[in-house]
Amino acid sequence: MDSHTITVNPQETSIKKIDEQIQTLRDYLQKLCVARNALLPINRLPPEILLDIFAFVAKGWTTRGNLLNLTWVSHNWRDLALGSPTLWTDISEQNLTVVEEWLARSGSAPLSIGLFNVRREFVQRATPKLQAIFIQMHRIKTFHYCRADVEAFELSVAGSIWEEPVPLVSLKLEGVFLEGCFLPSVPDVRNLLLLKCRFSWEAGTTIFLRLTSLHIAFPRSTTSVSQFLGLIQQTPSLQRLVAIDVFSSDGDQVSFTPSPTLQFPRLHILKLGFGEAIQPSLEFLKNALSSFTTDQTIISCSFDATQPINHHLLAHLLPSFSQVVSPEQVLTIRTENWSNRMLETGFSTLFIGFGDIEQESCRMNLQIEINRSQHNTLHSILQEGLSLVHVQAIKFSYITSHFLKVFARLPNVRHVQVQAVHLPHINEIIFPVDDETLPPPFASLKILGSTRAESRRIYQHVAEVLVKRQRLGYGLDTMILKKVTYDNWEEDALDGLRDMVDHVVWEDSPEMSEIESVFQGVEPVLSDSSAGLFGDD
Amino acid sequence: MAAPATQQIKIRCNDEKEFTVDRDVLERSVLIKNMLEDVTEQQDAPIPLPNVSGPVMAKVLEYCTHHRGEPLPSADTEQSQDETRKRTTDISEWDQKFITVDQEMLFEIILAANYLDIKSLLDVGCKTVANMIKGKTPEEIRKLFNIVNDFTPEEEAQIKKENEWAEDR
Repeated sequence: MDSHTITVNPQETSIKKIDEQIQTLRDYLQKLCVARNALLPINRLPPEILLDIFAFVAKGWTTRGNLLNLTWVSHNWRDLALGSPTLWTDISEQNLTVVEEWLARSGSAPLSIGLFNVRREFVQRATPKLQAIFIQMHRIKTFHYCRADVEAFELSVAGSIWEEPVPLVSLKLEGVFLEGCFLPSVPDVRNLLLLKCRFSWEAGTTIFLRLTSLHIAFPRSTTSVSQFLGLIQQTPSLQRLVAIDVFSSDGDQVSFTPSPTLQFPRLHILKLGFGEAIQPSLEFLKNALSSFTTDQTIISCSFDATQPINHHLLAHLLPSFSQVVSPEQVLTIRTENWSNRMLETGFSTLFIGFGDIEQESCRMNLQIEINRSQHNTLHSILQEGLSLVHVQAIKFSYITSHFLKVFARLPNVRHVQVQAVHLPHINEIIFPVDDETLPPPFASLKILGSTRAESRRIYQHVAEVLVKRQRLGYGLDTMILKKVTYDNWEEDALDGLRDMVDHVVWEDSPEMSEIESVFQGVEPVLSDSSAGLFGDD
Repeated sequence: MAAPATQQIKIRCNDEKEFTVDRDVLERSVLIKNMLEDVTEQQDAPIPLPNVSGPVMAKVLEYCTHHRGEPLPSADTEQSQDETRKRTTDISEWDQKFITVDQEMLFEIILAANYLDIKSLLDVGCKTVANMIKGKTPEEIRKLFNIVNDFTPEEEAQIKKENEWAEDR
């Protein structure tokens, strides 16, 4: 075809023929455009890479617009996106109105549903859409449903779909009323997160064969977690249990009589906590705690007693914890209230955080402990057990200093974690280095930094102290640095750091190039292997 | 402690440009790592890399040198991390600076990372392109990559319909 001149002979040509010619030209032009686009650098990428890019653009629950836009750019991109079912598997409030289109485009790929701010009026409007989703229950792998209204919502609104077993792997529900038919129909679920839920079904009917992680938090006035635990007591696969508001105040605590015990043989992470204004009886708590039977070593047992109302309970509860978790196991106590009784349980990890505590009372408590440590309880217990210290302090710097001073001298403290410590006088107290009678030094140090200028100075000082320790033969096995900067460090300190540790782990440090230059020659490792060292928080 | 001396490996790009690089740096590339493992005897001949040019290889080596020593993803972790990997387009500060190049070079780096099998670099490249696309209208995306509208009339009609139901919320 001559692209420059078109000759029309009126004798031989009708409008119809010209229209045909126009169409031919249009087709030709469109093909030319396709051919031109194919030569562009971005379109020279292999389709699988372009799809990877699309996935980065479009995956997630809030990216409906991005995904549609991709299909409206060019012929090639549209073909590619529409031909890739896995791009269309995330459904949320963002695309619920067009969910049928998403369901069709996702073919038979596993679906991921995330409805995070569900309100009553939304439910009424969206019920047909929800039903469309639930019809596809056989391919929903992840389902997050968070009800924003206080009043619980009956999820069974969608009809009888829950009666058939569904292959859910991850399920998060918040503010939902669970009917008896619901949970028994998700036998394959591995991660289950239930918040502010009410439920109603027969005890003993729910068996999760594959459940590995369970996180439950039911506030008062809803069904208690204790009742729930009683129902799922035969869960041999459970490895991680987080239960907040474990023991409700609605009077059913006496009805929780584990029979015979909660069988969680593989459980190794246990976190229990209280919410507001819950005062379970001590006897009940002891029974409940002792009913967690496990064949595994519990590597992290966390007790959250940060609510003021629970302070008085803590001291009484600790002996019960030590019945559940042997001193060899790692037990983390989170509290803002220092108690002498905390030291009498033989736990091996201590997490101390300071929040809104009366400055004076805290200091007094601390003084008592320090005094005692010189004689009996603190000293002997810590000598035998305590192996990890996590100090987190922002407001009461001098108190933290005292703690560090105490712990740095303890023989069995092998791991020290310092978070956001703001210590103007740290150089006077931290990790004394000149005393030859010192116990063996700790083996690992984790510093969680901040970007504040004063913190930088602190870390610089820490580095200098560590270098001095190194010169005395006290090296570190592992050093973890998070958000730590290295501005203006003395050359001596940097030189020393280069040689002093076998492994350096850095996390989110903002100035990687500087860190690399500091630790060039040191073999770095990432944090996985060391994370357990510091518990699971 | 001093770093142990590492073996030096020579590579040759498609423009005859040669590089001599520490083995551990080059082994960020699974392709080259496998090639080196297959060669039992020491050989002096450079490894030919016919799909990568000298300037692109220089950038790739800059990346590999910076990330030397970091663990390589195993096939298992790769699979398990795939889903979460897709959900974040965060790029570290150093990587962002590194990948701030013109489009031509960006796509060349992506192609090289794909050919050399350097998963983390491929991710950085793909995320960078994704971040360029995010939040833009189709017209803006076309302008960004010099794409022309090449839809057929049928596709145009369909897209118009989609526009309508997408806006009808």
